[in-house]
Amino acid sequence: MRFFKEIRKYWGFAKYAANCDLKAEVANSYLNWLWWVLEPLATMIIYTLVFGIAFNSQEEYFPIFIIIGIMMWDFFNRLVMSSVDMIRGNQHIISRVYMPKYVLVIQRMLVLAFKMMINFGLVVIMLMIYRVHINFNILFIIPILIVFFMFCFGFCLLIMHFGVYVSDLTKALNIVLNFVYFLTGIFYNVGTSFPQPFGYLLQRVNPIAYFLFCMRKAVLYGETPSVIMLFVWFVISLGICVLGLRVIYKNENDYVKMV
Amino acid sequence: MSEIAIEVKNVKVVYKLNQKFSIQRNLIRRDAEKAKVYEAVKDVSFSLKKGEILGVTGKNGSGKSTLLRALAGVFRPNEGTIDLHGNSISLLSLGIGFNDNLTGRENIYLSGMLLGFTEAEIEAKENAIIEFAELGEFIDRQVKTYSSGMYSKLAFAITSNLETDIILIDEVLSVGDEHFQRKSLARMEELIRDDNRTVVLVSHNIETLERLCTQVMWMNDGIVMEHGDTEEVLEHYREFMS
Repeated sequence: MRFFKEIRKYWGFAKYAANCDLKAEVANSYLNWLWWVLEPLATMIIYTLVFGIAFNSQEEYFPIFIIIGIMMWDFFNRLVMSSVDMIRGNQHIISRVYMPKYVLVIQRMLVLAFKMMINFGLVVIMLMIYRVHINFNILFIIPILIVFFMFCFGFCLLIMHFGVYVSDLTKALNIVLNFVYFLTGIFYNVGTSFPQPFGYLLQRVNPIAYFLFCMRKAVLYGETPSVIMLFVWFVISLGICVLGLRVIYKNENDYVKMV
Repeated sequence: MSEIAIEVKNVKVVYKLNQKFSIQRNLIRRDAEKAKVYEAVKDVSFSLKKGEILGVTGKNGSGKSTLLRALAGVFRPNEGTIDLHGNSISLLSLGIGFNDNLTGRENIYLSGMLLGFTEAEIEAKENAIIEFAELGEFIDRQVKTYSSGMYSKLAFAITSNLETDIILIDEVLSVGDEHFQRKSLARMEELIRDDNRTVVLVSHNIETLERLCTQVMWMNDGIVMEHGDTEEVLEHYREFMS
């Protein structure tokens, strides 16, 4: 398939470019890469203070509960927001040489995945501090992340495509993502906070909420996430990826002429 | 030396204007304009043998740069075919190409990789490129700190040192100061003299075309007016323009 052949060809580029992006981000800042640790750490502390103490949340291991939420949400949110302007922002490249346009999304995903890894390092440290009992269910992280990345990739291909043609998509997305943010349960439990069956449904219909739900289950509470439901989301994500790639392949020819 | 390097058949490239829309405008007034179509390249066919140097000239807006970008694969033609017979190709043009937030050195690697070179191949050429670009310590500074002259010097150094089978040049022979111009022209001639290299050169400068090209194509309003012997075509072009 064309996609896999191209991936092999452009993987080196995506990796190198992502590496450069990361370096450029910290090159001129005083605290350097420490920012990557401080950012999620500070958010965790703020949320724990506000929702854990002021709003008196009853979730077990609340700081870890939150940091897992931030980890996944930041990845998704940042990827979506940067996808809107991705074609315009990389005009200097695409107007000079052909590249499959989805490579740009992959490059961005690599950057964000690296930050996510740092975030995950924080999760591991917190798990040790809180002496959380973990079991083999933690291995579910791998399939959960695979489906999560697939969903993000496919979804952002579509966002990138529409970003070229719709001039105020950023504004619209800001509102939509704000809405989704509160329905995803970064700082509260979606499943138990809404009256049933809405909570139950929301946790499964909102993909990000679902991935979060699974992740917390596997890491924090040592429970097995629903394999069937995860498989359903795998199939849906695969569908979105195929659709996204088709749209990109069909239209990428025109992107250069638009920007 | 009769192997064909570039074969272009009935190529047409269309730009659609007014294709953008905004959610707000469409929700409030449902009068999204129909996209207008502009044909930048209407019907161009030519073939070029390996080792030839084709000059393309014509007044502004005649479709030269669009044709070049279609050749480079930046976009596919809307109609017609372009066959490069498996040759690698790079487009050298002014004012575009780098990520401003990265250093010159990083940009060398990124450009090289997109042109299809491996990291090791670029590493082997890295010093030659840096030396040619005469950037000194600026090579490890962000490209946004460069002057426009340094910018184009680096662009020229990359494309002229990472040699592809076909090189497309869009008006870049006037890069940098006089010293660098002479140097780049010399380098260009060196590249061009290589019998295995095919070059398409877009320029308004008749002197340059006369000096470098083995044949010239004159374009006007997206079609080929004349294609053939350098002196003959240029003479007709000069008459037409005056």
